[in-house]
Amino acid sequence: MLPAMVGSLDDRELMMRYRDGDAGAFEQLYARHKGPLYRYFLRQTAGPEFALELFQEVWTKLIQARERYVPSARFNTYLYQLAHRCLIDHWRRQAKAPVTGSAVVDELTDSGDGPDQLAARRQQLERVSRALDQLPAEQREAFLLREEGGLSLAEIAEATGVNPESAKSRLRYAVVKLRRSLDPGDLET
Amino acid sequence: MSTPDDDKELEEFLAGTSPVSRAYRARADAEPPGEIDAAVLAAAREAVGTQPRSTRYGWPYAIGIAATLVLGVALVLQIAVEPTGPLPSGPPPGVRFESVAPSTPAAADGRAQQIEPSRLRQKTLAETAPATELENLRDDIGMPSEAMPDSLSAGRLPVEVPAAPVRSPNIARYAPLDPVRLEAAVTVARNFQGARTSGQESNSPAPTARRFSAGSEVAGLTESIDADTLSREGLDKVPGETTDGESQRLEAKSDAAGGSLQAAKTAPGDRDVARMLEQYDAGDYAGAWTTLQSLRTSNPEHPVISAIDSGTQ
Repeated sequence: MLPAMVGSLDDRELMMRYRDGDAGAFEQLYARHKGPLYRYFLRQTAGPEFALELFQEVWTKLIQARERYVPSARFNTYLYQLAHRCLIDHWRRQAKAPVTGSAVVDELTDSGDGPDQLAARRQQLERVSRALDQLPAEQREAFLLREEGGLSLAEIAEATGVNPESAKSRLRYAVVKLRRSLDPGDLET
Repeated sequence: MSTPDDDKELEEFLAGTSPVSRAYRARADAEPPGEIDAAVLAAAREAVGTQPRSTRYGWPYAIGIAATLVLGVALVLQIAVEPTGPLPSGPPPGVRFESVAPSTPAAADGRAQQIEPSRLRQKTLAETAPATELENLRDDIGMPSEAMPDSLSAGRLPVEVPAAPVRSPNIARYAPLDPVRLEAAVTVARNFQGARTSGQESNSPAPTARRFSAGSEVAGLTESIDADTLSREGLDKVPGETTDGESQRLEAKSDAAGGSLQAAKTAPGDRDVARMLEQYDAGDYAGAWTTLQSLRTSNPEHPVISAIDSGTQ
């Protein structure tokens, strides 16, 4: 299949094609989801090294489980369900879920802004990071699943194994707390 | 406890218009390093590269293809080994057939009526075949050189040249079984044996044509014994044709042969003659034919062989 046609397929079709041996479909799938998935882990772990470890673990499990993939739900739900389980296991291994500001420094290193702009962005990122760090882990994950994964309330509930009301409550508290934690200037950006 | 404002803020967030979303998205979009991308994609390609594209084409499919290839190559090699020209269907060069042993008794009877005994003549190879071809022919029919009849050595072939036997170490190198000749040999041998054991002329008729019912051809073959041979072997003293049928005439001639052979002394091949008759009576016609050919090879001068050969010339 031509790359343009592969690009027009939805995620489930790409995954089924990869299940049947089409490596090009996987490349397209990976390109669509690698950034959000990486940031999902980056915002919830102590540093990029943990985020990269979990990031690779999810893709490895996806590759290994491709023969058993059944397109019963949206691919995003399937992907972040795997990610949620990997994150839970990681937290259990770490005995806690610490989040620091080291990820912010790494992200700023990659930007091409000037010194003043870089300093302003650094302050803004630190405020957002602190606001996220102050959220309970469940509320932070619900917020990231919506922002990075694009999951709906029902899909957040399915991915995290809770009922839809709990997912809605977690997400509502996360949004309210973040708004209250951020400066008005940050919210006007 | 949620307020209506909180719900409104959640709806804006879900709609993507919340200032919280804008603030979050303003952050740098972190991406995994390139080496991680390469490692993941390599793992994905390796996973599908080491396994079949679909379970429908598993190892049975591969085995089927391999078996087809093996059979195809074997068939091509077999065709390449076989001669490209038409298969030889006729006799060897210089050999002409004028009669063929019938496959059924009825056919034998019918053809015996159509073919006159005089037509069962011999063809000489002297005109067409040199001595080397005679040697080749002898090799083809598997006949030992010492067993080659005088007529063949002289460039004369019997009317019914046996087909070349299959060259196999498990098969005797003799001519194939000829029912007419075997029956004639049995008839002569019975009278010969009777004369040996009783010491007097046999009064009981030999059970001729009992097995193959080819009496007409046997009669014709026996009739072809020329007068000189009968006189030389003492077989010309036929006590007269007392019956009308061909087999009765044959019996009469066979009796006469036995009567004349009784005077002969015990020959070294008598045991083979007795064994041939035993095999014939037991229904082992192939064994009887082999014993007869063995007798012909080991003792070509035996009276029974002489009588048979003189009858076929």
